[in-house]
Parts: sequence; structure tokens; C-alpha cells
Amino acid sequence: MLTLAWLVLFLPLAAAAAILAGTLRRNFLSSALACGAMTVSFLFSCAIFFQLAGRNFEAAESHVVLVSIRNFELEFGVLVDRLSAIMLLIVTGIGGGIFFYSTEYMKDDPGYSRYFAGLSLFAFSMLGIVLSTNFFQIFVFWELVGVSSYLLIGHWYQKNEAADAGKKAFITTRIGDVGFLIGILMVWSLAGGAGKETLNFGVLESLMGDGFSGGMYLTLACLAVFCGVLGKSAQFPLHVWLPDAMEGPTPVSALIHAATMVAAGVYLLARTFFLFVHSSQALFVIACTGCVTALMAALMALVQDDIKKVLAYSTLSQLGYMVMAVGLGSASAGMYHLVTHAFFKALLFLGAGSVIHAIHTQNIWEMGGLLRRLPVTGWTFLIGFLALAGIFPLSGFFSKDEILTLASMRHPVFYLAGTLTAFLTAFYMGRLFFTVFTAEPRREHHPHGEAAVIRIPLLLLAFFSAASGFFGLGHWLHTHHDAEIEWNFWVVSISLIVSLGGIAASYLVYNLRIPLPESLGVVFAPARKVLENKFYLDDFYDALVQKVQQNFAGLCDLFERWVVVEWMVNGTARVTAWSGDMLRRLQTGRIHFYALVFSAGITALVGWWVLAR
Amino acid sequence: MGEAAAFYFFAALSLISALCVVNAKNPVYAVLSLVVTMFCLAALFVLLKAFFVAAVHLLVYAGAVLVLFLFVVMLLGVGAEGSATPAAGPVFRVFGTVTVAALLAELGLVLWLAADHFRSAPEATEGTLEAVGRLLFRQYLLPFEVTSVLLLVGIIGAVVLARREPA
Amino acid sequence: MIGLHHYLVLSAILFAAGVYGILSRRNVLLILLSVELMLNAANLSFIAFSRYLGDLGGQVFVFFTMVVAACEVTVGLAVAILLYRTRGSLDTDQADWLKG
Repeated sequence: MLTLAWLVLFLPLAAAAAILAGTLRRNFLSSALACGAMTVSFLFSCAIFFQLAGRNFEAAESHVVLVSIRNFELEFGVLVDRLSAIMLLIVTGIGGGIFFYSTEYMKDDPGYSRYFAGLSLFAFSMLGIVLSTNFFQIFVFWELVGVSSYLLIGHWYQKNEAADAGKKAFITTRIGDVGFLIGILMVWSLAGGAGKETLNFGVLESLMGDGFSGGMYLTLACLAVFCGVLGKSAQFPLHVWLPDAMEGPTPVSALIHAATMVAAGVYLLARTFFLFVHSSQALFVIACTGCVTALMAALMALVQDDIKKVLAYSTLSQLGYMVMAVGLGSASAGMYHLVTHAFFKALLFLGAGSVIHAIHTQNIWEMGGLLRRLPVTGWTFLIGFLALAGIFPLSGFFSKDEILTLASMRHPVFYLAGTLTAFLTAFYMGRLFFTVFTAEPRREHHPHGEAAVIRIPLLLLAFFSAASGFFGLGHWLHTHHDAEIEWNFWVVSISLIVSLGGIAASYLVYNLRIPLPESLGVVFAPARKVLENKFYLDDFYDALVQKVQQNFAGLCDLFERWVVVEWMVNGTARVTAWSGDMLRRLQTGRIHFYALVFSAGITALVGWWVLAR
Repeated sequence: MGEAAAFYFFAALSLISALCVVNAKNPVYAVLSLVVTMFCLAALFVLLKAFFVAAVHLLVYAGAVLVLFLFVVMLLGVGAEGSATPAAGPVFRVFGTVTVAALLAELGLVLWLAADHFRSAPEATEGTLEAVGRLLFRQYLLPFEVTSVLLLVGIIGAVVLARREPA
Repeated sequence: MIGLHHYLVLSAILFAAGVYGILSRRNVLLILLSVELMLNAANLSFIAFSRYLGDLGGQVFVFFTMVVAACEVTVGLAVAILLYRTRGSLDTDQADWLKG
């Protein structure tokens, strides 16, 4: 089983290496390699899952020691337990579907082989995170995910926006990663204090068992680790990279937003939840962050015109849910939502990709009535939409209501924000769906049909989006760290009503186009402006960079120009030249001078020697 | 007494001729003065019972080296050459004189300081051909052989340097 | 009675005379002669030590010094000839190619 896990991890890397080494010119071979590796990885993941089930889901790990410093060891290994097994299935399964989908979507792209190499590298990095046995390894793969996401988002690097978006994603997540690294070091010192210098998750968990108390230091360590999550899972205030990341190819967006990169943060929280349970302050901060992100992103999604941007903000919002769930004390609820979300968000992105592929525009106002033209896309999109809105009996209903129930048990503010977000989610998704698929088109389109490799992943994902709520995943993922969640009829029915209300409202406004009173537009104009400017966060960051960083850079520039270059470097050169010029005069070329100096030197030496005795 | 008289005689003569060497206007005179010095030194070597070395000294210096010098002096036509005169700048002469005086003073100081060590009774060892030869071909065989290489290098070097470039 | 120090004093004076010759003459040949003088002053010390310390090794050393001096003279004179050929003079002040 562990051998299989090693294979699962390294197959995509081997595919990426093979593509880069040999098949960059042969498109078919490249995609076949990448898809083949992913398929085999998926099959192995299934095998791992069943073997694990046969062992009653007992965690197992194997590792090699990379560096050994006295009694501290840096390990590299694979860890298989419930959490990583389910994530393996998600990553290889949904990822594999996206790989196949890409063969059609990217058909005529000049960077086809490079794209598949990037996808494989991405899958490798993500699997590395999932299988990590320790903080060190997870950090390495964490950074690898950053690099490969940079490569994929900037795939169309000839486009300035794409190149910039790639850089933005990379740099923004890096900011969080600095905190993560500091957090890892703090955890290491905590572990040293608790008896053993280690970064291994299993050992750490047993060290920090019940009754462990790290005090303020532990809280700081948790928050530092959470900084990494802020970056990768795009939580407020580091969420700004994610909407821009839509510049990448649509399958990449699906991959990043559904199964992999943004999931990494939540996965990290779940993996290291044993740390967080000891610090209620850290959990509170996490819950607040998630709550703010969920609400803010849902509001921003209301005013987007780009089909992918709507989905991007929706992803942000759902990630906020997951992080909030972790913060409220149940990592399993967060993971549960992560799994269901992976299905329906991948479905929605691939559906959006199908639409874009068919009519070559991303502006939703140029679409309309596509349900008839693209039936498979339309109906599966509807399933994804209803799942996301949390309508019974689709998967989103179960996972989202678990989070809302949890929030209602903790604090009414979280509950209200969550419910409001649920309403907004239903509303903006309804706006998207009705505008694109059912409303009268404002422009005639002649979409070409849906290819089989596009249809099949959509149908599979639709099935899982609809059905994955019945597998009892939430209960299955439950660990003794997680808070118990009691099913609450009122919470469930209220959220269902709210969601249905949101859908109904959007149906009235966007499908039937009921004229709204003029005054409403006037009243909401300022709010709309704020939302369209994304709460001015990007402008704030721009100002921060321009005013503070640029001035500081200017200061550094002056320092370098005058002190370092002029004074130190050129100064050294000038002193050398000057002293050389002085010393040059000693070389008279006259043998008498040399002889005199020589004799005088000998005389002086002998004199010193004689007088010293 | 005879030994002391001989020493003082040859010592004075060697000093006078040495001063002539370094002060002579004409290089030919300088070379000839050095020949006189060499003879005096050979005589002193004999007084020191270094008979073999004295003989070789005469052969090598008076017979070979100084003849070679004289040969070169003649070859390069010294008669008309004015640069034989000590014409180094006054600054050099002053500093040079001071340096030499200081050196001399130091050497004298060393000798004076170490005077006690010279009291030990002299052991009579005669530097005959047999005695020096035994030493040279036994204890110092390897350095002796190596000197032949040095001489060869010197010969080749001189030939290469002084050879006229074929036009 | 003539002792070791008599010879050493003589040797020192001869040596100093050689140094003076080097510092005061500009003719290459005279400088070489002065060097010979210095070498022989050293030889005298060797022989004197050899006599008064009862060790023939000093005389062997003199032998080696002579070999080295012979080499030095041959090469030195060759250089002098070369100098005369290229500069037309034996004056060392003319040979200042190495002036910085």
C-alpha cells in the first residue's frame, strides 16, 4: 500500500519529466503521457483506499531521512490515513478528469505539451502536500504548488495580464508562506519543549495530546502557520490573487479552484488540527477570517460580468466557509465541504470552460439561451449550481448545513453571516445560470457542439456533485478533535428556504427581467461601486506598493548608488589606483636604487638582530 | 712572529688592492687590483693551512675568472668609456657611504660581542688535497655532483645569452 | 698571536668594500668585480672558521662557493655583453627598462 503511495506521488513527476525531456514537439504523446500517469495514479489511489479500508483505516507511513542533525531528522515520506486517502481520490480523480478535458480544450494551443508538463508538475506538487508526513515536506511541496501554479496561470505568457496574474499569485502566496515558515520553526521549538525535536505530524500529535498547553507561544505558532493558509487558500486579506488567476486556461482554473491549490490550505488546517485545538484564540481568528472572506467574496461575486470571475469569487466564498468551519472547531466539517465543493466547483468551471470554448467569450451578458444549444453543459451546470446553493438532496446541502449548524451552535454572528452568504450564493449563482443558459440571448451565437471528452467529465462530476452527500463522508472524516455537530431541523430548513429565496429572486430579476424601480439602482449605486472595486483592496495594495515600497526602494537605490557603488566600490578602486601610482615611483628601474634598498634592508635587519640581543 | 708578520702584510696589501678595485678609474686597473687581492687571499689561505683551497683559488680566480673579466673589458673597448668613473648621484653616494659604514659598524659590534667565543684553542687541521678530497667524495658527494649540473647550466646560459642572433 | 677575529675583521672590511663598490659604481663590470670581492670575503671567513673550529667542512663550502661564483661570472659577463650590444654602453643607468 505504501509502495503504491510512492508510485502515486512520483508518476506525475515522471510524466512531467518525460514530456520536458522528450515529447515537447509531439502533442499527442505528451497528453497521453500526462493523462496516462494520472489515470494510473487514480487507479492506485483507489487501490490504496480499499486496502486502507481493509485495515480499518489505520494510518500508515513510510519515510526516508534526508538530513540528520544530532537527534533531529528531516524526513521525506508518504502518510496514508483517512484524510490523505480521500484527498488522493479527489486530486487524482478530479484532476484526471480535468486532464482529459484539457486535451480537447487546449487542442490548438501552441504550448500544448508545455501545458501538460505544467499540469503534471502541479499534480505532483499537490499529491506531495497530501502525502506529506511532516511540516518540512509539506512546506517544500507547498512552494512547488506555488511555482507550478505560476507556470500554469501564466501559461499564455505573451498576454501581459496572464503574466502579471501569474506573478501576483506567486508573490501573494509567498507573503503568506513566510509566515508559514516562521510557524514551522515555532512548532519545531514547541516540539523540542515537549520532549522531542520533530516535525512529523504523527509524533507531534502524540506529543501534544490531551492537556497539552503551549500558551501564547502556541497561539502565535498557529497563527503563523495559518498565514500560509491565508495565502494558498486565498483568505482575506491575501485573496486578491485568486480572481486574477482566471487569466489562466479554464481547466487550470478548475484544477486550482476545485481540487488542488486552494484546497491545500484547508487540508493543511485539517492535517495540523491537533495543534489548533489547543488554542481557542487562534481558532477564533481563523473563524473570523473565514467568515469575513465568505461574506465579502459573495458580495463581490454579485457584480462580476465575467463568467469565470463569478466562479472565482464563489470559490473564495466557499473557502471562507471551510476555513470558518475549521475555526469553529470542526476540521472534518471543513474537509467535508472541501470534498463536495471540489466536485461541484470543478463541474462548474469545466461547464464554464465548455461555454467559453463554444462561443469564445467570457462576458455573461453576451450569452443567453445556451441550455438548448449546449444541453449537457447546461443541465450539468444546473446540478452544480443547485449543489453550490445547497439545495436538498445535492451534496452541497449536506456539507454546507453541517457548517451552518456548527455556526449556530457557536455564535449568532457567524450563523447570520453564514446564512446571508448562503442567500447571496444562491442569488449570484442564479444570476449566472439564468443569464447564461435560460434568458433571451442579447446576441446570436452559433456554438459548435460538445466533444465527448468534455461531456464525460461533466457527467461524472455531475453524478458525484449530486450524490456525494449520501456517502456519509462528514461522519467518516470525524476525529476526536472535532466538535460534535447535532443535526438541527430549524437551521436546515431556514437555510433551505433562504437558498430557495435567493434562487427565486434571481429568477425574477434575471430570467423574467422584472423591471426594478429606478430608485433601487440609485440607492445601491455607491455599494455597487465599492463592490466593483473589490472593496478597494487592490487599490490599497497598489498604494502600499507605490507609496511605501517605492519610496523605500528609492532610498535603497540612493544608498546603493552613493554609499555602496560610489564610496565603497569606486572608492576601493580609487584607493588602489592611487596607492599603485605611489608605489610605481619606487620602481625606478635603476639598479643602484635597488641595491641600496637591499643593502639598507640587510643592514637594518642585522642591526635589529644585534641590538635585540 | 713570522706568521703574524705575514698576516699583517697580506692583510694590508689585500685591503689596499680591494680599495683600488672599487675606486679605480679604469676597469683594467680594477681587474688587475683584484688579481692582487686574490693573491693575498690565497696567501692567507696558506697561512690558515688550507693548501688545496689556496691552490684552487689561484687557479680559478687569477687563472680563469679574472682573465675572463679582462677579456670582456678589452672586448668592449673600455679605453674611451667614461662611465667607468663612479658617477652615481650624490644622494646615492651619501646614502651608500652611510649604509656601508653602518654595516661595518654592525659587523664590528658582532665580532666584539662574540669575542669570548673565539678564545678556544685552535685545533690543527690541515686542508691537504687528501683530506679535502676524502670529505668531498664521501660526505659531500651528492652536492659535488650537483655543482656540475650548475656549471653546465651556467655554460649553456652564457652561450645562449651572448650568442649573436643570426641576422 | 693571530686569532680568528683577525681574519674575521679583515673579512668584514673586504665585504664592506665590496658593498661600497656596488653602491658607488655604474659600470656593470665593476659591479660584478665588487660582487667577486664580497664572495671572497665570505670565503675568507669560511676558511678561518674551518681552521679555528677544526672542521674541514668549511673548506668544502669554499669550494662550492667558487663553483657558484664561476657560474655567476660567466652568466653575468654574458649579460654585460648583451647589455652593451643593445644599449651601446655598460652604464647601468641606461638599463632602466623596468622603470615603473
